[in-house]
Amino acid sequence: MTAEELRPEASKEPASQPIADEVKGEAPSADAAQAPAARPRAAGRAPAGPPPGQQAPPTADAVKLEAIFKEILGEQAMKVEYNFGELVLTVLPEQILEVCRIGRTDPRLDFNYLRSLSGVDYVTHFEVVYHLYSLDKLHKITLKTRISHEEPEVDSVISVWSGADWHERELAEMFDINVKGHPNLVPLLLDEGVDEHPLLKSHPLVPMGEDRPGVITDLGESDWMGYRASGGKE
Amino acid sequence: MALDRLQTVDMTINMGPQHPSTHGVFRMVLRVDGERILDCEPYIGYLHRGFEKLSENENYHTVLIHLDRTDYLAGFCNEMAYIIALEKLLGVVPSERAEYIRVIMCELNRIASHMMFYGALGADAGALTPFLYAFRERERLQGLFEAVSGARMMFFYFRAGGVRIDLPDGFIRECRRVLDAVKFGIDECDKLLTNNEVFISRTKGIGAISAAAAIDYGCSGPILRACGVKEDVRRSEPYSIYDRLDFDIPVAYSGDTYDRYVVRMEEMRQSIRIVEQCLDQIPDGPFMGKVPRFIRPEPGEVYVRTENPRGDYGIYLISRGGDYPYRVKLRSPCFCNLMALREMLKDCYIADSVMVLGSLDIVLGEVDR
Repeated sequence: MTAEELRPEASKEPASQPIADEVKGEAPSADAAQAPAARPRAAGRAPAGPPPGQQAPPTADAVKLEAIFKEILGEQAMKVEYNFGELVLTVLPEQILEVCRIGRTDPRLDFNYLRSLSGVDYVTHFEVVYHLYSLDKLHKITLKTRISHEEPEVDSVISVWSGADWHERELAEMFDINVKGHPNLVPLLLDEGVDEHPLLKSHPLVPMGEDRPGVITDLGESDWMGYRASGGKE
Repeated sequence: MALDRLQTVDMTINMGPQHPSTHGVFRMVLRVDGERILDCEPYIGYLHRGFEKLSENENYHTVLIHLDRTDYLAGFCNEMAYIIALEKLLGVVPSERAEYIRVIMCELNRIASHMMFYGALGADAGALTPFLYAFRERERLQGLFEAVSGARMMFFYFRAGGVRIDLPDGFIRECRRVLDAVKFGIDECDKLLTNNEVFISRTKGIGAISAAAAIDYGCSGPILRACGVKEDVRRSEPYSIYDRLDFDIPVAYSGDTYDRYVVRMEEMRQSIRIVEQCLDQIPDGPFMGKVPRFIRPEPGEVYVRTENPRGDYGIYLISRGGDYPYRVKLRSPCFCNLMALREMLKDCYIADSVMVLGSLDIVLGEVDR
């Protein structure tokens, strides 16, 4: 599934349009082969059943949460999965702020604690993942949204949790994702003036000695750089 | 001239990045009115080493090497979070003995880390003696770490399914001896600072934050518990063998610097309780469970949170098959606690900013990753 297929005119369609099929399923294996981290399995090893995450039955909390979200958002507006028995909801990017707000304000959900906000580059698309938790009700949920590389934009949830501030700044600088509505979207961790987005899969780990901004390559007579560039062979 | 007609302007001053009180390389820009802080803008990233990117090019086990270097005062606890995540993806169950070894090391590490906090906070307040007392106790624990893992800080000790090597001979006897000494040491430390009048006046009511604000900012660990929120991952989402162990979660209610200190002092005592129970219960048997020869998890993802000395330490691990993790995201407790610093420093004096920052017990290696 390519990024174009991911949200075909999703913004033009009414919200009731079923997206369950659009966002269903893993990225195809062809993309997995392209990804730098993916390697073929060892020959001769048969896959041993479904991965552990899918084996666990849903917890009672997760079933309850699913019913509440279905009641609020409607059956079609989201894709429901279970990972290690916990609920994973995937919604459209234009819905994410609204879903987060509902999650925070609805007394039955009461997700008052943003545990983590992560970005993942799946080569075909980005995924922004929100791990939410309720300190009072002690239940948790993983919210996901998928955005395309062509239009890397996601709404800021800083109005829902103040703690999203630095997470979103990190997301913006590491993935080159525009976080709409963030009041202060300046780089957080990287050097000033570095226009790179290291956590993109297209950003390789370059050995020192390559011409990169911020790396001093001219060390005069020293052969150190040549040594590193050759991988230590010379 | 009448005083009310005197025009004053706010002044912006820079603190750090090499200020000795910042416990690392951390910079904050303070907007002050006289001695009073109106606003504070923290700047981080001086210690950014690209842990998450590097991990995508490491084997599943060698990621641990980088993890030891994130929160370098609590290496065992970091390894714990990652190893649980990896084991969940692999579907591997660690051996019983390994579970106990891990919890023992994590709790000893918690004491050592809090001792570091105790010494540093005392030094921030101008009391240099507690620092030496804290390091005496910490040194005893470091000896145990060295005996078990061979390293003093960068342990690289946990493995999927167990630990790298079994406990050395006589460890349990030696550990009990050390615990007795440390127990006495904690009481001694308590006497030095907890009721010290100068220390109390420097910390009580300083840098307070409400429970609602702390939750909103995603604070965790002793910061959150000092606000009266009884949240501890070891209790709310028990991992490893914590559900079998009997310990209390210390809570304080005013959310100020003093309460954060008191919560940590009590946590050390609770950790000793945990380790003592583990030493009583630890079974014989293999230190490694049944593990596949190649660490190659099925595609999948998992988010694991554990209770680090600094708070809720989360690992988001994604596998898409193959020898390397597709994505490792680290949810660092200090990162979130530091966001709340702005809230805490409002209306503090400049001199108190050092104490408030010290009470957060930040490790910049983990904030910047």
